[in-house]
Amino acid sequence: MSPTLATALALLVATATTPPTGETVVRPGESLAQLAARTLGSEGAGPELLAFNHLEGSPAAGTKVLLPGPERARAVAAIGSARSAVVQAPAGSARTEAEARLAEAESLLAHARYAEAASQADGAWKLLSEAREERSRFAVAVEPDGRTRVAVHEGAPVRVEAQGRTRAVRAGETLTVIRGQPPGAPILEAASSSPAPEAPVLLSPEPGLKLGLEPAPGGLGPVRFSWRPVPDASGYVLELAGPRGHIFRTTQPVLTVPGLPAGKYRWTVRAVQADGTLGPPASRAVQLVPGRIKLEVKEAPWQ
Amino acid sequence: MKRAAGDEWQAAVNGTALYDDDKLRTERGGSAELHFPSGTVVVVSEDTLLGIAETRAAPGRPQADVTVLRGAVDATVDRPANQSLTVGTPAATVRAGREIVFQ
Repeated sequence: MSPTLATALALLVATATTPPTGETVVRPGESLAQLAARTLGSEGAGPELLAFNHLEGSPAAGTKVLLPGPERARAVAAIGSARSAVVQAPAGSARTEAEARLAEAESLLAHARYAEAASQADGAWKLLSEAREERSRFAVAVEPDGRTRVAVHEGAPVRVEAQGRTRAVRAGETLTVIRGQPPGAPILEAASSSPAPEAPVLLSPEPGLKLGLEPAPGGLGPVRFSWRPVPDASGYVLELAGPRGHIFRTTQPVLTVPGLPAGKYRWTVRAVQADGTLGPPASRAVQLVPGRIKLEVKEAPWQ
Repeated sequence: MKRAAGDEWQAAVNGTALYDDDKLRTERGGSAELHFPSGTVVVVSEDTLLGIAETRAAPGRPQADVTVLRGAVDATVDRPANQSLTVGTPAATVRAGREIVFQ
């Protein structure tokens, strides 16, 4: 088959399935592996390129070759996510099934069946994610100088992207991104270069106190939490666990909550360093109950 | 809060509904909780300015997007296998939960 005819046929068939985003011409002396490395970024993607163009052998120099569009990028990303999930998953039936789906996805990618490959890879990812199904909790802070700080408290990793580069941040890690720069490497809270601040000394409410409060928007209130300042702390995180969970950030060693539903709470305070790492927690229990109504008895204004 | 089509900042009260492109600002000592249709909850810390970028859940893709311009948020994605949350900032984009969902 002549190069021109091959190109025409490939164009006809490929257009009917996956819309290509471009084409290239095979250079003199360029092998299939070299062509694949140049166009798809992988020497091993030669068979995929052939499949996408419906060619049976290495194309001759001067042949126009179609290149896959965004569907391939999506399939490759899905396979990457699935591969990462499989590596991190503990041994078990979910992992075995996910490995099988991942292998199928990779095979489909090699045959340029991108939508099916992405679907299989996503199935593998979903299998492992559902097996885990742990909630993900993380914080994002934008500093006045534009820096972004990401801290993952628990659950699956989050992905931080900047300047075309993506980093995964796992539970217990923090990552800072300077505006206009790609993300650096995440650091473990415990492995922070600067020493962690000490645990705050809690002041009020006192331990185990049953606090009688007046009705307020949101329940009873106001509730004032205070603790001693921690040296070198840039702020504090106060976490409330109880009938209403809540996380507060403050720069002061005191925080007043206008109203909370009645019940038993545990309040935990941690100091935050300038680089975003959290210090050890200090925790106390408090119970909020409706306070007694205050009535004032006055003398009647008449005789 | 400020509506997408409005110029005036107005006080938000418990239960106020926010929509795409609305903005929310908390003052010092203030905070707020954003509950998205997907079930994702974002706690907005004091002195924070953010925008609601996406509240619609596309078929098979429960999603919530916010853009934080100043301050801090704490997010909880209860079911990361089925939910996703994207937090944009001036320096980065943070994604949690599902990356791609096919139904």
